[in-house]
Amino acid sequence: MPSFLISLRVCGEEQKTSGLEESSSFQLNMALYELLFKRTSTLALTVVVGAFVFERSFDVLIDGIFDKINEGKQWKDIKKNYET
Amino acid sequence: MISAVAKSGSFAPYLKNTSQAVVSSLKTAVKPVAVSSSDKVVAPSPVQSTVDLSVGSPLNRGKVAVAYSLNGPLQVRSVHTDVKVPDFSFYRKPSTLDPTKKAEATEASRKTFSYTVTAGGFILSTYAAKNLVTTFVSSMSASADVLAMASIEVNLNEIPEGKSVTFKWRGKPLFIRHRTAKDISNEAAVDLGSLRDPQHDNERTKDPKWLIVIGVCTHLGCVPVANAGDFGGYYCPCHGSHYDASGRIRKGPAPLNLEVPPYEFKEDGLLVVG
Repeated sequence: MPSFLISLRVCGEEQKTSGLEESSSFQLNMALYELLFKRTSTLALTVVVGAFVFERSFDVLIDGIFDKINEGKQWKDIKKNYET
Repeated sequence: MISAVAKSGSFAPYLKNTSQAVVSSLKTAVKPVAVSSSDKVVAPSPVQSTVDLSVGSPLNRGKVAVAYSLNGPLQVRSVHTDVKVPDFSFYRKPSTLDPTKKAEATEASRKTFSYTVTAGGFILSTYAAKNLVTTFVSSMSASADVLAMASIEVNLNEIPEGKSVTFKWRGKPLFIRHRTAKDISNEAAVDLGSLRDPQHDNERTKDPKWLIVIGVCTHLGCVPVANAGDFGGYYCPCHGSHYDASGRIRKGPAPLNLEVPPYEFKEDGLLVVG
């Protein structure tokens, strides 16, 4: 066997012993890729569902920031002063 | 690289297949050496090279030893097992360091990041597109002050039977008619075939006791007069269109029945139009 193949084989074995396959980030990558990204159909579904989740959370976040900045100025804050 | 020496054009004069050692008449720079066929050709030690610029340097330059005999080897074959292969592992992803791995096995670690970025971009642009479309579409709908004026409430208990009352709704007259039992049975019995705009009384009223129509003549937009005309409903004085007690056109130039607005009956005889 040519020597460079041997050296690369050795290199590969070193890689295996470093435990890359067992690491949790690898497992997460694997799951994400296999479940969501591998097929175009599941990618599209991911995008649609993700858009719903993102829209909801982003809007709530921004509204919360707006309400915090304008605390005491909005009708819902001063309503109690004018209605019995 | 095989027979680079033997086939090399510039060396051709030295490499003739001859049985005798003859100094070439073309060039006298190299003196062929007779070697017995059992002797091995010793190739010059190759230059340790890792880039293609220096790949040419192991070629024999200068003195060339040629073995020749009838059954001896005519070629010099360089064995390149000792050439050091360039090491690109610094540039490789950790998952692809092992060349014996199949591509599918390393797919996830190679592609997940870029697909995550792609999906994130798609999500952001979907959100942006949705908001853009919503903004434009909602700009076409009525504004809040208009919507606030768009519905009216009517207390039906104040309208006696047999009477038609006119209200203003969205800038137009609205007729609310409390029909008698005789009206109801008359309108229900009308033959649809005799109508210009065939609609049964059931389609025009939610509760047969109450007729709610917009008081605009479908001919040219005059306001009809209640409880007038040949059919006991509405009569348009402008061009003489006769509507019956269900607001349907029976006679005259108008092409369509009086329009029925959207409405709902609430509890306690409350009617909400709009």
